[in-house]
Amino acid sequence: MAVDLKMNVLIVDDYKTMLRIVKNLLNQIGFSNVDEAADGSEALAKVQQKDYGLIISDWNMQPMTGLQLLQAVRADAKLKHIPFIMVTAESKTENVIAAKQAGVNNYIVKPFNAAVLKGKIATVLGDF
Amino acid sequence: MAKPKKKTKPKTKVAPKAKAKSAAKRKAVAKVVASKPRSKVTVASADSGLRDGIANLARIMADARRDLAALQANDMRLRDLPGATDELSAVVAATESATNAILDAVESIEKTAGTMPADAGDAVRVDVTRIYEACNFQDITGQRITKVVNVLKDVDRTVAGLMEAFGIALDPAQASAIVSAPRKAKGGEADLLNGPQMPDAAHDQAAIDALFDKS
Repeated sequence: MAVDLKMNVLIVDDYKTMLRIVKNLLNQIGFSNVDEAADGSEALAKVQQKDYGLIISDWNMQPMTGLQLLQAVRADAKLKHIPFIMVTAESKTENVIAAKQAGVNNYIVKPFNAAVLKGKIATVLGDF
Repeated sequence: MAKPKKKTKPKTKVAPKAKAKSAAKRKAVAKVVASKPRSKVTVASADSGLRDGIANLARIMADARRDLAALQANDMRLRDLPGATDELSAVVAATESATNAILDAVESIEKTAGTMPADAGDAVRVDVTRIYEACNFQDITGQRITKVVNVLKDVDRTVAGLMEAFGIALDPAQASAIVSAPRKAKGGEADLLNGPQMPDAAHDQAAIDALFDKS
C-alpha cells in the first residue's frame, strides 16, 4: 500500500536547525503536513491532541527525552500504534537495544542523508 | 525468666582415622607457633612503617598544595574556565546562526527551482538536498561541544573541591579582584592576538570605523 503523503507527521528535536532540515527533507519526499516539537513533553502534548501517522524524534532532549516520549506513546492505548523513528547521534549498541525494547520502529543515526531517511520511512510505512 | 536454651552445634560424625590426622596437624602447628620468639622488633618496625607512610602522605599533600597554588588555580577557576566555556557556547551560537542563514538561502533557492524548467529544477533540487544533508553538522558539533563544556564544568568542580580541601579558596572580594585584573602581559605582538571577542565585548564595524577615523 502506498504511503499517504497527507498524513500528519511530527518531528521532535531540540535543535531548530535539525527541525528545519528534517522538515525540508520530508517536504521533498512529498509529506505536506509536518509539525514540530522541541522536546518529548511538547511532542506528547501534540500527539494527544491530533492524529499523527508518524513520529520522527531525536533522543537527547530535555526535559523529556526521545526514549521517554517513545515509552509514553507505547504506554498509551490510543497512541501506541503510531510508527516511531528515532533519529539520533546516540549510536551505541545499548542505545539501539533500549530503543528496540521500548518499541521503536526504526533507528537512524546522525548525520544521515535524505536517501536513508526516505528508506527508513518506507520500511516503516510502506513504499512511496 | 528461664534462659533460652543455648543452641548447640550438631556434632558431625568424624571417622577415627581422620580424627587422628587432624589432631596431629594441630599439634604440629602449635609446635611451630611456640618455637617462634615473640619479637618486639616486629611491632616496632610496623610502627615505623606507619610513621614513614604518614610522613610520605604529608609530603605528597604539601607538594600537591604547592603545585595547586603554582598552577594559579584561582585564575583558572575564576577566569580561564568560565572564559573557555563561554567561547565554546559562542561557537555553538555562531554555527547555529550560520546554519540558519544557509538554510534561509537554500529554501529560497529550492522555491526558485520550482519555477525553472523541469531538468534544471531537478538538478538544483539534488544540490539543495546535499546542502540540507551537510547542515546536519550543526547538530553534531553542537552536541560534541556541549559534552566538552560539561567536562570543563566537572574539572572546575573538582579543582574547587581540592582548593577548599587545601584551604586556598578565596573570599568573594579576592575572587572579584582576579576576575577584573588585566591578564599578564606576554610581551610584543602576542598581547595583541586574542582571537575573536565575545559578541557583547566586541566592537562592531561602525565602532571600528569611528576608532579608525579618530586615530
